[in-house]
Amino acid sequence: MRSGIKKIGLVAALGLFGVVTTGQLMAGTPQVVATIQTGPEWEPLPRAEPLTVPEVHYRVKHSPYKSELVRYGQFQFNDASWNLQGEYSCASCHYERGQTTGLIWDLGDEGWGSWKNTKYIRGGRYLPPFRHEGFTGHPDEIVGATSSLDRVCGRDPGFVFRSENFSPLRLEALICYIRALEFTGSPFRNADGSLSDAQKRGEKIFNDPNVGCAECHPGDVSDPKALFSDAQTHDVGTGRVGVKGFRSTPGKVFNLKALEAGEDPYGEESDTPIIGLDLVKEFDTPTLRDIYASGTYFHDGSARLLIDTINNTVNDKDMHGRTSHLTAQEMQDLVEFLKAL
Amino acid sequence: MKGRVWLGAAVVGAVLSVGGVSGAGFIQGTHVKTDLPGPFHITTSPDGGTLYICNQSGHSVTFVDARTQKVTGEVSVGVQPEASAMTPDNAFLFVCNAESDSVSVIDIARKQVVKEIKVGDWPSGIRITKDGRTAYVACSGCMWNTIDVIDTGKMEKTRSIYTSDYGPRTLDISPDGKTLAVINDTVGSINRSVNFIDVDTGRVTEKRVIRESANLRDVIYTPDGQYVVVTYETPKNWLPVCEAENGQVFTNNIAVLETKAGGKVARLPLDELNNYDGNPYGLAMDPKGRYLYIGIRGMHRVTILDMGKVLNVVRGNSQSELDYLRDDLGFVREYLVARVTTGLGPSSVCLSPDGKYCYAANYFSNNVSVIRTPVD
Repeated sequence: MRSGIKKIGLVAALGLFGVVTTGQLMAGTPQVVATIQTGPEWEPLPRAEPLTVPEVHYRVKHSPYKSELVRYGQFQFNDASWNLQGEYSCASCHYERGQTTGLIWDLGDEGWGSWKNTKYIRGGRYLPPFRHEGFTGHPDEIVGATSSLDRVCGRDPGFVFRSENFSPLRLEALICYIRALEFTGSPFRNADGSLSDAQKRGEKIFNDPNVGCAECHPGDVSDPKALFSDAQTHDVGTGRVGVKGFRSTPGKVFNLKALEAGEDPYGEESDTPIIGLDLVKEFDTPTLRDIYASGTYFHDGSARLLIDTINNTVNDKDMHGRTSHLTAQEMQDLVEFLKAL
Repeated sequence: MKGRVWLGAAVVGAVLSVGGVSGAGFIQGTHVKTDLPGPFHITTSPDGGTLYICNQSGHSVTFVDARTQKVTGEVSVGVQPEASAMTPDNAFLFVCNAESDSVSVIDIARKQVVKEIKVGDWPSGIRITKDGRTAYVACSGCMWNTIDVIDTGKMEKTRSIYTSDYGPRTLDISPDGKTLAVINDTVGSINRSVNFIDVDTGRVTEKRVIRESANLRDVIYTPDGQYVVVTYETPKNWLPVCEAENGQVFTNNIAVLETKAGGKVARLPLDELNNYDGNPYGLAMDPKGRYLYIGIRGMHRVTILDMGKVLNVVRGNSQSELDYLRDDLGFVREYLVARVTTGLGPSSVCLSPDGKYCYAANYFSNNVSVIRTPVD
């Protein structure tokens, strides 16, 4: 092994591989001495001329499922080196499985001071719009012309990432990867894909007109293409507009002081000024597919668990389904059904 | 993963053929075919003669002769293999198939899958005891909280150990074999945790929180068993993102936890000003515990730390003093040995048994970087 390593090590020393050390390079300094190729060689797209800000109506030109483009996009999604200082990548929030860390953020594009839940982006192409308040429409705009992700990742990624803008091809690749992400499917059904008894009981409750889940989340559980969303915006009692221009507290919201004390931050907070996203009362109806994996819930992440979305603890009573008459067991059955979607 | 039957069993089934060499796989998270294998995890045989590489996109395991540095075989496994562990007798490799919710058992001599064992949702970490009899599998589904226990002789799942929180990403076994350290990468939590689990009772003896943490990726015991090290990211999500230029979105860290009950949790920086270690992933430590190797997936390099200096920091400071160090962008120089540029996307690292070579599996370059370490 060593003779082979010496040969390749010479090549490495000539510059094929870089070494960054804390001091001068010397004998014994850790360095790459060989590379074993176990699959086809691959290089990312070069960093071409970045896209300029005025170029706003961007569209995918190639097949969104072209393998090479998707792979480039996947790389970009996981690459922190284009971000200022190498601080983080897309995958830091929408981690590499294309899902979500469930963290809530104050991104500022809807106004500073309003918490926003990290969206689950698998299957995103099936169900525009993409922002919590229901902006953006066409799937190509996931990271395209007018969406928030365009401002974050595309035309002007500097806003969040403090990086250069993407070249058109790099942006297209990122769009293709995000478009290609598929739902995972629930791990909570029976092995043959059927529903458990509890899930069946929950399905009945879900479709009960007196409860009303299916009014905004229509879908047939036997249809693998069902999205369980009407793609409309609704007021489900999660808008935080309260008296005197302050955040109302029908339930728990993120609490900075608790966080700083190292405690559960989802305590009560009543003196936060209403700004930005909090001025909105109607929010986009999310798909319920993969809902087991897409927590936290509601636009501001105020519902940490699925049960919190239906038990009237974080939103106005009976605004998100009429559930206050349900027993604890019925609530749990409903949760079991949701986990199966 | 039971429900995935209804999502496309035909597609998955085609990939699950036992004992063959893999064909085209799928780009992770999509149904887009690719010929690029995407090496995601790497481990060595006990004698260091063979490297085993889990190909996340290729849905296979590649065998490499460490001495000749040649690929010697490839075996198809389940969908999206993300971790593997070898029995001490070098007879069987147990492979976690994250998307298939199963563990494939490869007979090394025959280079064939001889068993597929169903486990919980999204198995992404596995360790085998020193006696080779038991495998512990971390099932990291977003609403799953089990460490599934496999009898390696019978090749059957025998029981589940329940963690305190969802998302047990991976684990390590203490050197004395009595304790499991499990990292819970719980979606939605900003205070993710480490569970210490008594092997005999299967109970969590202590849940230790790493405050303000997310994206816990790997855990490893020091050889003396007194500490565990965890890779993670610190989200600064309670601050407006307009502070981005000051490192106020994420910082990248290790946590060093004393394993004694109620011990300290030191959150130490990997970042320097203008040179962050974006997305720290896999860990390896040499047998004497002198150096720590960290695959930095987002920055395409392996960061090497002097563990003696790291532990001096932990021992020499109180918990409150340690809490001030996390964001000190000059502090990593206290224990940084080198940052070695590798191929693209090193998500996993492992060491030769003598600690002289570190191997990094480069996901996007489809290769393995061989790093000469500082070990004499």
